[in-house]
Amino acid sequence: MNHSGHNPTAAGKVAVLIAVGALVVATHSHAAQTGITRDAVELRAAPYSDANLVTSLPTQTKVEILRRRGGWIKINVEAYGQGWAPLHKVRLGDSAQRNRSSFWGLSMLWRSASTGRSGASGLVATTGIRGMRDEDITGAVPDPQAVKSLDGFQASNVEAQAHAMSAGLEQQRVEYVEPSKKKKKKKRKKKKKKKKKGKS
Amino acid sequence: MAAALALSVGWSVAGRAQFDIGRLIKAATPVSQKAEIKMGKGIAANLLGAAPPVADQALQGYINKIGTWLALQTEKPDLPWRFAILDTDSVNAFAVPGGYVFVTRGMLLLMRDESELAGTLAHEISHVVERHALKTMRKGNWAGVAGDALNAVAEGKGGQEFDKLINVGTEIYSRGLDKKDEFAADVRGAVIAARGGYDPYGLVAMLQSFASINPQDDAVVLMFKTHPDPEERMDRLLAYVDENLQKYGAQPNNAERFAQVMRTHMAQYKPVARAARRTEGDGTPDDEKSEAIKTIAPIFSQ
Repeated sequence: MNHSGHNPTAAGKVAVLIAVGALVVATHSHAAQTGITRDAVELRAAPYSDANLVTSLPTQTKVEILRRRGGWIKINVEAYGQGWAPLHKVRLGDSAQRNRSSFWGLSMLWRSASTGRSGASGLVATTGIRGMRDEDITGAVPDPQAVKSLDGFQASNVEAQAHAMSAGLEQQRVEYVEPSKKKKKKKRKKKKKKKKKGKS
Repeated sequence: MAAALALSVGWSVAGRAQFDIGRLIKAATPVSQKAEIKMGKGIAANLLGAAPPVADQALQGYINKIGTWLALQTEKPDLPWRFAILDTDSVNAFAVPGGYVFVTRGMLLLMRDESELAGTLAHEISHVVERHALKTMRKGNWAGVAGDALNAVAEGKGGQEFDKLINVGTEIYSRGLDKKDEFAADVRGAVIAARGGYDPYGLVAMLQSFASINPQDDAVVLMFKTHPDPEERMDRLLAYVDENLQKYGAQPNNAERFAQVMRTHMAQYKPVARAARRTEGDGTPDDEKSEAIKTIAPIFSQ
């Protein structure tokens, strides 16, 4: 069906694909990543705890994560639109099973961005990646040459400083403060929650 | 002649101390920086034998500029700091005595901005600055490795003993550090990142990513075994950052620069070709081991 009154040619279709690809390249740093709330969450209009409340979301709500600012993330929720939520309340991925394949898709964005193609064909298989194991480390044949080669990557203090300044990083005096010991209360709360889950 | 005699007497005394009264004097002598660096070189050689550095000068240069900048924010800016991305899909990071800090490519690919990378590097940097690995080496089964014997060995007075030390030091990476030291490195890492001008919530975001991964996933099995639960780490760190570093949350995360570096890297990445380097292999050829690489490669060649 022609809604716009002209026939989409093959060239036209390719042009659209390229445009979409370019959009992915241009916006990938703010591109969407799926997430799911791990608790009841208050969606706010701005990244502050006293900003206007947009709506209250129940736990296990699927969201789209757009970007982060400090401890807040901007998310998109179907039916409610966009808003800000605390970072720690939104787990990545789309299932409570913590399946990596659904958010490993982010790294697929790096790959699709570099080829200019949108919509990476599929998710990286979660089976088949062989992780490093104990025996890989303790049984390794040492490579002192590789250690020497690290000298070739070294940055001088001056280079490091210039690299920081060029990105607007400003050195700060920050005191190291011993962590306070408020944690115990929080821990107890969490244990109770876990028990409840087990029962249901 | 007299000197040689003195040396040999000294060595046998040190050897006895190591085996007989190690426990009593383990706390007496601190490890010298020279010994620490020499040991670190040996341990790093083992880790790089397991996973070589990614062959990408620009990427490695980027990591070193950031890492060095962060190291300048600590009390030990003058260690011979060396940073590297390791060519493995595993998600892991290593802090080696003497200033070697390694992050796997698998972990790098989870990151979404430079402040996550900075937080991760800062966590590892603080392990080195606080000498957590050396502390762990002196505990439990390794209590017999006394400080002065360790120094004597590391500073060149005993070849076989040195190799043993390196093995002990390497084993730490398959067992993990004290839980308390991991929590401490999270907090100190956030402080270091803030000093470097970064948004300290980057490390919180990184931990949230870890907490989102299935613990059975082979890529994270080793990291989860050697570190506390990531959700607990995240909750603790968040409480600290909210309480002490909240205003630094407005500092940059440099998502654009990070994205640029990653795009450039991905466009030219080829896994490092390596012969089977393990002394005990399971016989599986390398190319069967990473479905991820098989899935990615066709996309690149199109």
